[in-house]
Amino acid sequence: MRINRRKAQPILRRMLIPMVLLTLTEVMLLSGTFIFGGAIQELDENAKGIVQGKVSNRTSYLQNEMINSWSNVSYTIQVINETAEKLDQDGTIDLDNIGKNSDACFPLVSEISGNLIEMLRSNKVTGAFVVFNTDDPEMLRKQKSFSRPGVYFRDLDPDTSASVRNSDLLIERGSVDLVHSLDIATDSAWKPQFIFKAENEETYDLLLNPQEQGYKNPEAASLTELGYWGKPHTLTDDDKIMISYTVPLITSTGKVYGTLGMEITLDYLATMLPSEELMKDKPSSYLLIVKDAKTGDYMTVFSSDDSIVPNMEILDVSSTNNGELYFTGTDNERYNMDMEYLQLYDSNGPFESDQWGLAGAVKEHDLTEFSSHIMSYIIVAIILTIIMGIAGSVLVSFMISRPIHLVSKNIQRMDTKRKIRLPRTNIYEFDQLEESIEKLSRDVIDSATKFTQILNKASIRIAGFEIDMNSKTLFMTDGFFHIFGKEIVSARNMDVESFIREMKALEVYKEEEAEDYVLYKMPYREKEIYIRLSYSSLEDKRVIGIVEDITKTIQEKQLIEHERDHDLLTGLKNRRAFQRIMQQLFEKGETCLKKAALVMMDLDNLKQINDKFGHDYGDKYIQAAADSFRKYTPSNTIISRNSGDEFYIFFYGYDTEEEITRILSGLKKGIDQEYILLPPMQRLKLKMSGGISWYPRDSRHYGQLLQYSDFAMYQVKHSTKGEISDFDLGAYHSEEYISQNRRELTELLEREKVEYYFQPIVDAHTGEIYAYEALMRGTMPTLRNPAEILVLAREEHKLDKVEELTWKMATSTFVQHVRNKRIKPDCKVFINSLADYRLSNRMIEFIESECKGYLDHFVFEITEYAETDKEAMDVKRVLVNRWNTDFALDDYGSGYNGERILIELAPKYIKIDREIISGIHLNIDKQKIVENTISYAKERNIKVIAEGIEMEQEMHKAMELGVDYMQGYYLARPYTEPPQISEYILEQIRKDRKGIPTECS
Amino acid sequence: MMKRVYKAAVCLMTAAILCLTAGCSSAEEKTKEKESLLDPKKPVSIEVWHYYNGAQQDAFNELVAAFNESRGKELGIKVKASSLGNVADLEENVLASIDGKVGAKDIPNVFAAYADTAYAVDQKGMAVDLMGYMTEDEISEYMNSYIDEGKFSSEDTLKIFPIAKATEVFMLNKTDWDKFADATGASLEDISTIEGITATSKAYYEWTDSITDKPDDGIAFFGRDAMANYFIIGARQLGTEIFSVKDGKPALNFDKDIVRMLWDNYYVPYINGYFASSGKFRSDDIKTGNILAFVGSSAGATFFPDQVTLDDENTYPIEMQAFECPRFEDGEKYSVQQGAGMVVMEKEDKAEIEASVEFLKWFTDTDRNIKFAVTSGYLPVKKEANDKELINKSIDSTDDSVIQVLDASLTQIEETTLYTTRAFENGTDARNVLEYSLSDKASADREAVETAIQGGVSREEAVSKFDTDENFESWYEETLASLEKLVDNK
Repeated sequence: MRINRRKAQPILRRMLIPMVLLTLTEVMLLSGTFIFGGAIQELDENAKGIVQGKVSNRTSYLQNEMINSWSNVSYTIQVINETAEKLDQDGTIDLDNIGKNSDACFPLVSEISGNLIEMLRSNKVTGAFVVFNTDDPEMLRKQKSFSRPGVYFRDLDPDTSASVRNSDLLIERGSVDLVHSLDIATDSAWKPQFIFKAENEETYDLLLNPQEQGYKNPEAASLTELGYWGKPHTLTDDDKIMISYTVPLITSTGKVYGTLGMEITLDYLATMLPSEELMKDKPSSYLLIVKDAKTGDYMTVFSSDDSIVPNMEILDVSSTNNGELYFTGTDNERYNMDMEYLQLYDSNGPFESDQWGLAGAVKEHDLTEFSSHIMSYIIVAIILTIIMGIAGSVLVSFMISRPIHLVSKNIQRMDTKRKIRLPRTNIYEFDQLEESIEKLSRDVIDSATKFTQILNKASIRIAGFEIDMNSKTLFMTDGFFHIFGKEIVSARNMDVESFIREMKALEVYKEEEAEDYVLYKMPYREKEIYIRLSYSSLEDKRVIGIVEDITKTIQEKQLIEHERDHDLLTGLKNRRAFQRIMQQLFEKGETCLKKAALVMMDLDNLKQINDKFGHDYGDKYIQAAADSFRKYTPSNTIISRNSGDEFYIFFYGYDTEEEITRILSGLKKGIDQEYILLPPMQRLKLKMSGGISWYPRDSRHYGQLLQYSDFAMYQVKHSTKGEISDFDLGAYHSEEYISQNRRELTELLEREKVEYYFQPIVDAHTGEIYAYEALMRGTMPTLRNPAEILVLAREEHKLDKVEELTWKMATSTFVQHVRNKRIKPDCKVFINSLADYRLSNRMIEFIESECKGYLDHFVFEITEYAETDKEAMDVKRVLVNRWNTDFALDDYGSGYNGERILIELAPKYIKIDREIISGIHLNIDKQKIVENTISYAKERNIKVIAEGIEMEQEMHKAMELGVDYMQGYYLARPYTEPPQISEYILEQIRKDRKGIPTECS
Repeated sequence: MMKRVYKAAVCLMTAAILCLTAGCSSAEEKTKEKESLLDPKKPVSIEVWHYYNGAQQDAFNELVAAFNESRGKELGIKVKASSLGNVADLEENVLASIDGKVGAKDIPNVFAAYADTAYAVDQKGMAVDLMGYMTEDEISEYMNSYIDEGKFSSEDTLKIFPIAKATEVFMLNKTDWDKFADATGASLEDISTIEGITATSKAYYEWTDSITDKPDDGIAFFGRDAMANYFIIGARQLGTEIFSVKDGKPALNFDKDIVRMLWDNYYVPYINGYFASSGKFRSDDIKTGNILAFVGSSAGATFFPDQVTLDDENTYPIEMQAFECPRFEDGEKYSVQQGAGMVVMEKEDKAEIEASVEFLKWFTDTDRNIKFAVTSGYLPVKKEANDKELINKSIDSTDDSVIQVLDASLTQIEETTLYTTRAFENGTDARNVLEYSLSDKASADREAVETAIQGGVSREEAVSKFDTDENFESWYEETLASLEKLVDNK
């Protein structure tokens, strides 16, 4: 399996991406629920809520103080009024003029001082005062300034317990007499009278507002209807600013004679409004605000932090959509203002438009600070989580992928020839895998070792290798190169390149090379060894092969060949070998032979020596002759002992006949000097007769040369003996040396004593006769069998005549039959044609003229294809093309005609050899061959003909296997009259057809 | 090998992350000077109770605010100051707090106290020995006599931290004095002794009486704010210590002759109308034209009026002059040392004590102490700060009376020995006896005299009923008895 580069990903990525995605998703979910779940807004709301709560608490506290303490005057005012009325009645004072001067009011003041101080103490205010005035308020308002008598005590620390001797009090206003009469210190700004100035507008209000209301509404049910809360002011001209609550002093008769007031200094107020509580360590301020209901202005009465908002200023307050108030402080920060109103005045009261309220001002930024902190923590946490998640993922992935990566690297790099040790990953599953791999590697090495050992045990030296060009790996059994005799080259640690280099170096020893093997002939320890390298490629990139030392086999083969080809007695080539060599030489033709001479030698007198001295001496005689031949001829001369006392000597490759003639005369001289010793010590000279035929002068055919030299030798034998003479064609022809058979053959050929039988070739699908084969029958009394005729013709070298005769006779007979309507005009005729023999031009002309219109009916049925004469075959090809006909290959599957011929010939018909068809229904191998042939043929549109069907079963089987045409005795015997197919056979064929699916159906 | 590297890497990663998440807060473990308990991150609040009022309170508060903004912030101290009325109120509150009385406030960290109050608090084991918080060098920077006041329980403890001191000075309405002097030829020399004042008061009364036709309507010349001081310093000048304290144990020396001398120079002129006291302080009497001069605490300088208000309409400006406190003619040169110091209270949280001392040290730093002095009329407590030149340098914007008072005070400090009674048990009560027994009797008797005069009796006649040896004797015995009850009960 190859790695799918597109799909396969490293573990790092496989794990990292999902883990990182998981981390991100988790973080997003978590932070999303937190951020978008409203938690942050809630935090902000909470912060505001806390401030609101504080303000709310503080407001109710302040309101409680203001209403229940700071404006708690009812008792005191009652006492004062009663005292005033009493003193008025007894004449001590005159209420109508009480506001005139200190003296006028002194008796009342001294009476009520104690009550004032008591009120100041019990209400815990910073000051209490009474101002007497009986004048018209409206008139007074017009004055720039005026002074009125009264009394005014102050206690700057109302919270601390009262001093027994009132030493914590100061007299702010009060007559000299009063100062003397009381054991109370005066303030440094003490004055006997209150001085009101127009520039301190509020002081007018606090004095006169309640009085005006007193005049308007003397019967008021409650003082709260008349009381006025004075905004910050000072009555003492010092830096003590205060707010005050004032009510009119009215007698029971409705006489307004003064104002009673209580004051709260802003410093003291400050202690009641601890703005730190609003927001710890953050700038914040309580604001006591009076909102003018008419103008809508917000005036800060008091600010606990005047760095944010100054006292006594109109505050520019804006409100947001949801009603929240805010303003910009003097520090240019935006402040959120939470305000609650104090219910100081009754509704519809005179001063209702003064809406007092307490506000908490907090920096908007601070309110959201906590949530922004949380936000930033969350963001930090998110970032950390992401970083940790990713780092963790990377780490984990790295920790897992790293050992695996190492292992896979190790595996890639490992030496397959050695046992593998893989580093442990400490991941259980992978370690198991590694163990399996290691075991596998051990097993592989074991089996390789075993294999090598088995090879070593083999009787022949053998070794193998495998190259995988993809992975550049090489497998070799040990001692691969030892087989080549290269003991220094080690198989171990050899890589592909060096292997190829080594093999290249061996190429010089190549002896033989074929498609799938190379034979090397190597020198080895002064001997020669033969090494065969057989190999095959698998999937292009892999080559496997074995080398074997076949020296022994080759030697044995050589010995056998030698024994087969050589005459035991003489050591010369025997007749068969000579023939083979001759054939090989003649196939090469004139280029190789050039000028050649075939000499036939016949020993004279052998019979006499055998008879006289016994066969041993006869043999010696023969040996001596052989030795002399060897001795006096060049080494390339081919010498053979044909039989008994007959020898052939063949000289070839000479440029001129003279050279051969010179050698021959040398041979002759040499022979003349040779002898054998016969008992009793007599020398017997060698004596022999010889005939020479010349190539190419006498003939180009070996057979003819043989015949001629034989003839020439017999000429000598029959005449002089002991001579070697040239062949003489004239003499040859005149010689009456023709045997009976030869004579008959010659007669048969010359007189055309043959007739042609026709055997039908039946279409296996329809049963109709597709063609006939024309078969030769001799009409000579002794020569009828065509096989005999052919054998004889071959011996007599007259096959060319047979070929010419066949074509002449068969074509004309066929045409006659067609003309006589014995054969249907569309039938073809298969005519046997010998591959090596060509029709003469004369014959071709004859056929083409005689059989005009039928030439395309003639199928060349090629037999005995040997390709000894290419020219002959070429002629036939030309004819097939010219006549628009086809080749049929006869005897396919027999020894002669096999696949190679099939490819070269490219026939339209294949005739399966009768040997294969015979008994085909019983033999699965034969069926297989036919099946294969048919499948091969079908693809190439070659028609298959089953020949020699002699039995019903054979026919059925042939049909079942799918042959196209059938021929044989069972269907019809050959006959002079072209026979028809019997109804019975036709019936059988048709019946069979139904059971066998045709190609079309 | 690889495995170990991984492990190490994992450990490092984890540690780094832990540090990142948790580290922020723990990083700043800085070492502080002298293993101080104070931490600017966790400020301690301390409560200071004092009895300053008016301008003094403003000056004090200003400095407290300044401290909170600067040094306090630096060290982590937040000071809250409250005025609890007068010294007596303060003491009452402090003791109530210590005793955990119902409605009492929490015990303050620091409170202003006279030696007697400090003693009372120390008796309850609440006063911190400041020796443990100050080096000898630091202590030696302070005026010795101020320090001595805090050594009431033994010589090697310090229970009172001096922050501002005062003495008594003589203050004169120079404007009206000049009128008198021009008319009668009286000189300032005449009023440099106690006896002189008594005589001059008589002369002034008679002169003013002579201006109108109405008899016996003369105006008083002189008044005293602190009668106890008059007794104690007067007696000291005359050679005895009324309360001589040794190791916290007092001895009473209420010498009859000497007391008679004091009687003659206060009770007698008082019932005659030469001296007067109405209102809380004599400065109020000056303010209303009741008297022309008085002996009062230098710390009262800020209360000295710049005008006299006779009634609603009649007001006129006056000029004030301050002089050394007049002494008995043949008396030794003693003058009173007064002004409360600060007592630091024991607290469970020692950081609060440390914070308190830090505040007091800061407060008495020379420049700051002078600043407080010149705005309040108090005297600085450090030796180097009690330097006229140094003080003059920082005086330019404050009012004239304070300058006058400081000037007179510093001269007095230089020329006389500052004296104050060492603290002892019941010291406050004993002082109060001296404070009120004579003055109350004098004002009551004066009232009787006035009533008599209004009834048509002549002044001389009316007075003669009171200016008798018997009257003295009975008062003396009565007073001695009440004193002995307090002092001699051991």
